[in-house]
Amino acid sequence: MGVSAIAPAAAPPSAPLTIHSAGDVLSEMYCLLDTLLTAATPEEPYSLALRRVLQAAHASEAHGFPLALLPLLTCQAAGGDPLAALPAAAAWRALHIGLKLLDDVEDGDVARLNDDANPAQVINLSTGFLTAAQLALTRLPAATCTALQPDLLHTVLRMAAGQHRDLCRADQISLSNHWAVIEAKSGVFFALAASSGATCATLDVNEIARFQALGHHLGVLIQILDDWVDTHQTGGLSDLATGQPSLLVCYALTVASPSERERLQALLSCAPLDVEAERTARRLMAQLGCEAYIHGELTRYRRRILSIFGDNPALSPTVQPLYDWFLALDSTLSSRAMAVV
Amino acid sequence: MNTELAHIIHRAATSPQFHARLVNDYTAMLAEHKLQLSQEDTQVLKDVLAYISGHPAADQPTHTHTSARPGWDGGPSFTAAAI
Repeated sequence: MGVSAIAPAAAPPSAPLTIHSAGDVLSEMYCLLDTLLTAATPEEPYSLALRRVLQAAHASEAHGFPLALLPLLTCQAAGGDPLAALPAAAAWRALHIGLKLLDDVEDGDVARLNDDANPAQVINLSTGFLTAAQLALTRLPAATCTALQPDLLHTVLRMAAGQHRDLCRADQISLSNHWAVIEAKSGVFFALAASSGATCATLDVNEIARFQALGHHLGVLIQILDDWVDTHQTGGLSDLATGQPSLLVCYALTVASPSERERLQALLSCAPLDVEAERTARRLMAQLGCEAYIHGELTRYRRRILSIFGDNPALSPTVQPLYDWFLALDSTLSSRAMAVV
Repeated sequence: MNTELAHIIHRAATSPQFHARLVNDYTAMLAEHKLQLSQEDTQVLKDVLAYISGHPAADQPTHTHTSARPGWDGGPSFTAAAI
């Protein structure tokens, strides 16, 4: 990717926002979302249900990794006050939650995760979050809102296209198709997070494009590590056990000899009901070089991300927190990936 | 991402001879197989070759053909380096 390095931005008036000082800001963002979700129907059980989902999402960020900081940190790195991007971060997080709910329904995960859950209710809750995402943008200055609305809606359409491709490919697993799905679903989504934050700070389209590229590569990196984890989960939770295609499966089926492919396909078809078949499939995939392939692709995307930060080891005080956030994210996800094998 | 690179990585991971020839002179090897990689893919290939060189699977008995090779599923200790 021919993207030049992120330029040092002017220092904001107060101390920079960092991953360590972001707790209150994130709480403020979740408060804004709570207001947007419940203002129209404060007494309705629907609002209570939306609030429960929101609280679970907040808790997962508080105890996991604060992904919703990305728009705030890119705004800061582009020279803006990170708080100016709070509505953009809320919009992105609402979209994240709403699409995740839909994804769970489409993948058949709702009943698997919770016996009492009702897919129709989950779809209805998703409607609330997708609407709140658009409402959040109206809290931005008019010009920024006008600039970001089409970006958000186009992102939803691109992700839906990626999901459609994913849902329609049951018998057509291919490596190039899987990469297209990863880019459309995860790359495009994180590109929106990074570019929407930058848009709150600058009108410079080249600068915004740099952050968009950074977000895209981050999204792909996250998905590669997710695919690794999902392939190696145990207890009937792996992609092999649930019959979902993953990058590792697509790689293995692409490079295997005809006889190996036939054997792997037979194992994969038994894996949902046969733990030994799942284990053997995983072993065969490892023998075909999955580990080396994943290593190569992770290296590619890490290098792309680092090249956007530039070669200068001394980043400006406004860019450094974004860099530190990336290192912490990579470390967190990598530790998770190593823990499953 | 290109599928050609995936096939090269597979051959390097499953055939010690192929891997050794790539390490020795990947430019000549790619030309011999009429393979063209972008600058970025070439860098990825070099990273993967170095990675395979240090993997316990590289010490397994050699095969003369490219097929699934024991050794890659040797355990979690090396996986840390992959990720």
